[in-house]
Amino acid sequence: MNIFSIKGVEIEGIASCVPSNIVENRNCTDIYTKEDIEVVIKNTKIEQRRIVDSDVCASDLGYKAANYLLESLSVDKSEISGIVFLSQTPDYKIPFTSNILQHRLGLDNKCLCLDLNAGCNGFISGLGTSFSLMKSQKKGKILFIIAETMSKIVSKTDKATSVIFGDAASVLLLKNTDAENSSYFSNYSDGKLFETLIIPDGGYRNVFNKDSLENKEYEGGSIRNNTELYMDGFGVFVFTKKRVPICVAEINEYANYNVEDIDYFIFHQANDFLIQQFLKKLNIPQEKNLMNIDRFGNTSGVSIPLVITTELIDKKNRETVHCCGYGSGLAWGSAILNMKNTKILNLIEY
Amino acid sequence: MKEQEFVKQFIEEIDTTANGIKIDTELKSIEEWDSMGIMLITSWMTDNFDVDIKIEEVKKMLTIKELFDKITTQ
Repeated sequence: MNIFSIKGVEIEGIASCVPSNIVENRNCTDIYTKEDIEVVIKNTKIEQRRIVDSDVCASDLGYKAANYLLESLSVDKSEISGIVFLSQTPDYKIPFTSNILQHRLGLDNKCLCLDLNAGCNGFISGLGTSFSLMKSQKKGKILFIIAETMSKIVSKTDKATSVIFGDAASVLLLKNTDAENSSYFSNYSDGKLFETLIIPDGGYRNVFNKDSLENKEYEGGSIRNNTELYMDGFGVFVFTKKRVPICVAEINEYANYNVEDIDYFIFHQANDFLIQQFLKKLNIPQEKNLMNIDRFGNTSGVSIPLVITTELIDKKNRETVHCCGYGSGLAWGSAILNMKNTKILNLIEY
Repeated sequence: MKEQEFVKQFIEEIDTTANGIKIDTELKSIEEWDSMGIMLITSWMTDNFDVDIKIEEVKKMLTIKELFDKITTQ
């Protein structure tokens, strides 16, 4: 099921929540000189990021966004038949977070709770899964919650990641519809490159041990321990620059769309330089490319729905919105969504 | 591939508007030859010329000719 279409399901509404705490990248001069940080900002376009307080979890952001969405759309909570929670920063190893959210949100016990672990392609794979679940049900509604607190897993002294990632959550409510239009999804994976983005210790391949918290210095002066995220920036760049344009072209062909037929493209907000390479390769005009990376940085899988919240909200044409994700795994994919009837709520803060 | 064609493709890949770029042009004189530019050109050489080259090696190169020599001697 690499590429598939689903008819009869639509996104009823979407809401996003970010921490109120703003971190200015120009103030991050602990590991960068003032000149170097300007170069980073020039290339990535990341000026600010939102970071949670230490006692706030990804699910807390997701909970606030979900409550806001359900209340704003006056949803009868007994209608929610499933929650899909996607995150790399869940509350616990056991139990799974969707189960906790079912109770916190006051949802009925007759509710499927499913946690997914995926990275920057998570919006695509998680939304495709949620659409499939919705399609399999005659009634009910599916709540897809995607939330990340990347700030908790990134070393503040790692030049490859420290000024890139931010925290956020988005929630989408899915329902059945009689509308004739289809949504399209594609998924790709290359597990051979699993070490390109990795936290080495703390799972069951390399259990947490006495050396896990030992800070080590790497080439270029970055310092991190084995419970923090390692990113091979060049490896990600080479891979995505080659694979993402093919991915975008393949689903467009499957859905019988040209670039001209797409109202807007939303790429995962990794960095501006990389996204500009995609636009160049695919001949996508700048006005069709929506971004908010300057204000929120890379929020992993949340970055695409966060762009929908902040940038698509005031756009008139949104019948063909092409979203493309790529990241840890390595995994990548696209979704072409009709969001004409989707209620997009204003961004809220935690 | 001839030197002239390599330079033409190099200019296109790094997306510079600078004039007068030749095979012996110093890389550091090109505005776009920053960390991202180096990553872009390393990726381009890896993908298009089947060259096994590390980004650290490219960082040390001084002229376009050195990049060209890498693909012709590999």
